[in-house]
Amino acid sequence: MMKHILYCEDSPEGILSAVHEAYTLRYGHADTEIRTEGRDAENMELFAQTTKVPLNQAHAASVRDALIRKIGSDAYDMIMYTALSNAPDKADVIYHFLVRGFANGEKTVDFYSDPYVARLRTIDRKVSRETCHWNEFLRFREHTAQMAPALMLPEGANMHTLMTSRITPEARVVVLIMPHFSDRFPEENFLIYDSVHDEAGIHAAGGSWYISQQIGRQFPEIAALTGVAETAEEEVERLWKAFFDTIEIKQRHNTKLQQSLMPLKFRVS
Amino acid sequence: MIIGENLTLEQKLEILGDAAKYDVACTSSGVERKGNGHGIGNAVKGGICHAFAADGRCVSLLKILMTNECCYKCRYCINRAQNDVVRATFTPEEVASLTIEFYRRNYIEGLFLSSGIYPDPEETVKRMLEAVRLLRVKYRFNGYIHVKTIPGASMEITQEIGWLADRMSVNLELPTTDGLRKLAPNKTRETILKPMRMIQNGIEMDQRVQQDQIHRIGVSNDGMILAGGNVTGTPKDRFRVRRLSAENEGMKNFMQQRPDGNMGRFVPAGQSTQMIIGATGENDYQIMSVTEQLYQKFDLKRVFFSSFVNVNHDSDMPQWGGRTILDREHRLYQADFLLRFYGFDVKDLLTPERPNFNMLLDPKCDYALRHLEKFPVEINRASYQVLLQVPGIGVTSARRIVAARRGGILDFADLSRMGVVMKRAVYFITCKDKMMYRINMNENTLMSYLVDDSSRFLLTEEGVQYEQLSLFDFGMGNIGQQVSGA
Ligand code: SF4
Repeated sequence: MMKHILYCEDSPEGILSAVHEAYTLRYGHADTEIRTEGRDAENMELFAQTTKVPLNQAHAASVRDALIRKIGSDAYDMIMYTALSNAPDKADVIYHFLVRGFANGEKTVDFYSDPYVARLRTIDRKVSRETCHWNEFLRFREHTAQMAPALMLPEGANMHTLMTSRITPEARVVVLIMPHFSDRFPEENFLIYDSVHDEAGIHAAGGSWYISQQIGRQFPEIAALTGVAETAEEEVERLWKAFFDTIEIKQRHNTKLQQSLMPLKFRVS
Repeated sequence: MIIGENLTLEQKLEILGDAAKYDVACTSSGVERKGNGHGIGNAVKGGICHAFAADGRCVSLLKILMTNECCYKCRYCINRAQNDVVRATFTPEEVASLTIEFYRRNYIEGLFLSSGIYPDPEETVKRMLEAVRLLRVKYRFNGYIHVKTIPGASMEITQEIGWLADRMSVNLELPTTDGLRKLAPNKTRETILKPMRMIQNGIEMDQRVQQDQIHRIGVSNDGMILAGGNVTGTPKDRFRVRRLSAENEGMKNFMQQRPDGNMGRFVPAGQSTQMIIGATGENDYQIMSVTEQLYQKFDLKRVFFSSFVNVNHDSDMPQWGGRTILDREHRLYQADFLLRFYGFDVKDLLTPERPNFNMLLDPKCDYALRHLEKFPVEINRASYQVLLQVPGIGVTSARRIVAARRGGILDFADLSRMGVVMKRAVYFITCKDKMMYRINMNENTLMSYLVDDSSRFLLTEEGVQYEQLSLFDFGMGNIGQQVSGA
């Protein structure tokens, strides 16, 4: 049997567009695989027919709507989290999960013994965990915001300060952590820059937030800003360090416990 | 007394952070509150931990004393009146702005404020109230605040704090009145329990009002309590108003103090307390009985235990107990968990004749071994409560088992996938009426299988690692020591 590989853009919409395409082409789900572009694209398989599926918002939306209706919003969340992960097989996992979901409905998420469902749950959990970690461990720095205009903050936004944070996540978590910080800091201008995927979440004081792609390429000065501490900021950081260093109870010193609780990559300063 | 004059903010933070660190309750959990679109902050039910100190405790709150000046003479405390330590005092504004600046940078979930007592309880609490009010009103801070109140302050001012704080605590200090008399001569059980009771009543009244969905309360000329919003509602709502008005004077006074605005919840994350263990001669049975009473009679959310550290090098008092006291503290926390989530009573775990925990077995294994007649239990039939008594089955796995049973008959292979620790559970369960291995159900044999060594206490070069505790209580710094400050 000929194998069919659909290549799609590496985004939630891209993956759902390819799922739509797979249903249209009807090669048979067992013989069809979906991969995200950029992953081993060169590595063509000899006995496979490959197709490039362009992003199609309408197709993606129709799959999304059907999925929420038939498999439920829990499944939708899991699929979104998975689509934002860096798992190499995520597109195919989503596709085959959906095949099962459209056949079996809401209970599909509980098919622990199905390899695709299990894999989807694993990836989903990993991304959720990473999201929580960044909620806990990312740090903001304050800038006197000459950069605010370039950030397309709305007219009249309070330009006094801009808080920035630079993160290096495995999954594209910015979109997942923005709601938490927007709820927490409604009156701050803030920007969370993911330097791995070169995207930023931007929140304007008193307003809403949006995601901006390729910030590093379009506004290198903003990306650079997220790495520096201004003088006043060093002051606050010193205060924090003074507090932090004093609170250990020496009799209970336990570096191993500390390190096992806080993964290295989240350890700031 | 050495008064630190002209201390910088950084120096104050060092002194007053250091002085507060022995307080173990660092959790930021217990209340879920969305941001309100204004000001700054929200609160997350499970708590959020932002860093881990070098002793492995979670750092979630800016935990500081208002001042370390103190006119009391508690023998376990470095800040007692007669000690020559550098004294520092924050202004309320300093406390508030430090909290805000750290919070904005996502260093913390909020503030834990305690204080030495100076010049007297009332004045002390007044300054704390001012700091908290600045945060809530001036900075419109909507994040987590825990205030440790001072025994001996008036009920009015304590109550005012309750309307602004998420959690309050009054420390029991020591498990027995006798211990208190010896170690904290300026404090009495009475002055400690009084605010604890008041906070409990306040929480209860507030919850009742919440359930009735009465949003604003006023008192009419004839002394009736009026409930705004619902007064003109349906007849059912009016009935609620009448019921409320029949409450006692205390309720009326209490509700009158309720501030306007949506911050108006009274200590929504509940109250906690802590006591020092290992300083006076109490046994585990006494400590756990007191703990049980605190939960039952005062509705506490948490009771924390804090291993005694002889900070004053007092030759009449025990030295730092090292591994032994940390092990004991760990057992107490395990037992505390069994009381709160597993439906155990203290009398199941300890008796006056057997007053101390078995250091080789965790309390649940110990219980099972002493009640072998109850085991093994059949996984496919046992009730949730019975499942909870099985070593190796926790709250989550018991819940999963009950849910999964509806889908079919469970076998051993399914259990480890549900999070059951088979290594321990296997001796106490059957699936389809068969045990996994042929086991001699005899206390001594089982004991040798179940000895709690590397499975719980991971020995590291630095000392003991509380593996299980860190996981199930993630975000709650319940490994700690005794109080300083109040
Ligand atoms: S424990 Fe509190 S009241 Fe007692 S001496 Fe220390 S600061 Fe003062």
